[in-house]
Amino acid sequence: MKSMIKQALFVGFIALAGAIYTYFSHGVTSFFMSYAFIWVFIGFILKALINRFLPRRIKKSIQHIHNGLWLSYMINATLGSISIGIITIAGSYTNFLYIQLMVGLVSLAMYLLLSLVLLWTSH
Amino acid sequence: MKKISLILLVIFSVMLTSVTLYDAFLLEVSEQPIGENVIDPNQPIDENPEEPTIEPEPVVYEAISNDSMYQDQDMTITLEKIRKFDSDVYVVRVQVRNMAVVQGVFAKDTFGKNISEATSKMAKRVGAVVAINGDFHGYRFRGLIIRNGRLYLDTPRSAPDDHAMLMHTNGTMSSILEGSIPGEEVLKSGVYQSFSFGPVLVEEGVMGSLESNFARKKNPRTAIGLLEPFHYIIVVADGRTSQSPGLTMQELAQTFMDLGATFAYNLDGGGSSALWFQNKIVNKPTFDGTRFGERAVSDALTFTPLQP
Repeated sequence: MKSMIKQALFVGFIALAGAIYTYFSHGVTSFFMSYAFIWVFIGFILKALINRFLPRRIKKSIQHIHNGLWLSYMINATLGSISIGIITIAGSYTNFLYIQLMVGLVSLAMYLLLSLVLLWTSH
Repeated sequence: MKKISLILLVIFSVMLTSVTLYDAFLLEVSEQPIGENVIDPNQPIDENPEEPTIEPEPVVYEAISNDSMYQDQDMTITLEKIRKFDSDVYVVRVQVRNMAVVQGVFAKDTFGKNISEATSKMAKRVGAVVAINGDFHGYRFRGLIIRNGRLYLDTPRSAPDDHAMLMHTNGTMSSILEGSIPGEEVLKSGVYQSFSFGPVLVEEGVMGSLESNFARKKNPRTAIGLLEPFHYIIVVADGRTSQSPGLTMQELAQTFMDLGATFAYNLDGGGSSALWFQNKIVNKPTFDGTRFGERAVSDALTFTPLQP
C-alpha cells in the first residue's frame, strides 16, 4: 500500500511538472511533455502485474537483469519523452530526438520478453 | 555489484539526455549551401520569351529619410505605429524598385545550426534601413531555405501542412508545401528568398485556417505580406505586457486583411520579434513581459540600400 502511494505520487509529480511546463510555453504544446507521466504509469502497472505471475525462485543474476531492464525503460522512456517535449516546444530539432525514447522502449520490449521466458520456464 | 550497475544505468541515461539537449540547443554547426545555382534578383523568369519586354524608364530618387520614412532610388519605406486589438502594432510598407535590396542575412554571416545573433547586429552590419527577425531555421535546421538566390536547405519539416514562404524575383509572394517540389526546382522557378515558419495567414486575399492552440494565444508577432508586386508590408506586434498583450494568429491575419494584403505569412515571433528601422529597434522585444531586449536569432530579412 505504501509503495503504491509512493508510485502514485511519482506519477503525479511528473504529470504536474509536464502541465506546469506546458502552461508557461506560450501556447506551444507537445504530446510528449503533457503525457510524459504515461511511461511511469504503464511501468508501475506492468511490474505489479508481472510480479504476481513470476515464480518466487529466480536466479539472482536473472532477477537483476530483469529489474535493470524495467528501470532502464522507466528512466529512458520518461527522460526521452521529456526531452522531446522540451525540444519540440522550443521549436528546435536534433537527430537524437527519439533515440532515448527508443532506448526506453527497447528496454521495455526486452523486459517483457524476459518476463515471458521466465513465465514459460517456470511452467 | 547491483549498486554499481544501477549507478552506471543512471549515468548512461542522464548522459543520453544531456547529449540530446546539447545537440538541440547548444552545438554550433556551420553548413554550406546546396548546389552552385544562384538566382539574379533582377532577372525575372520570362514565361513568354517571344514577347519583347519593355524596359521601364529608370526613376532617380534622392535618398531622403526622417523618423517614419526612407526613400532612395531602389525603395520607398514608411513606418507607422497603430493600436490594433489592444496592442501596439508597427506597420512598415516597402515599395521596392530593385529586388536586390531584399536581403536575407545569416547570424554572424554563417549559415548553420544554433548560430545566433541579435537582429539589430545583423541589420547594423549590412547597413539595413529595415530589418525583421526571420524564421530561426538554425534552431531546428529543417525547412526550405533559399536566401539571396541560393539554396541552403531542403529538408522538409515534419508536419504535413508545413508551408514555406517564397519571395519571387518578379516581386510576388507565395507559399509552397515543403517537400512537394525539390528545392533546386523551386530556386530555378525564380525564387529569391524563402522562409520556413508559418502559418500562411492570407493567400489570394483569403484568410488561412488558423485554429491551433499556438495560434489562439496572444503573443508578440512578426509577419510579412504583399499588397501588390514589389510592394511589401511588414507587421510587428508587441506582446506579453499588460499594455500590449500581442495578437492571436487570427488577429494578425485580420490586420493584414484590413491593410489590404493579398498574401501574408507569419515568421518567428514571441521573444524573437524585432523590428529595426533607421538604426534602432523600434518595437519592444521581450520574452516574458518583464525583461526587455532582443533574442539572438539565426537570421533576419532586411531591406538594404545598394548604395551606402
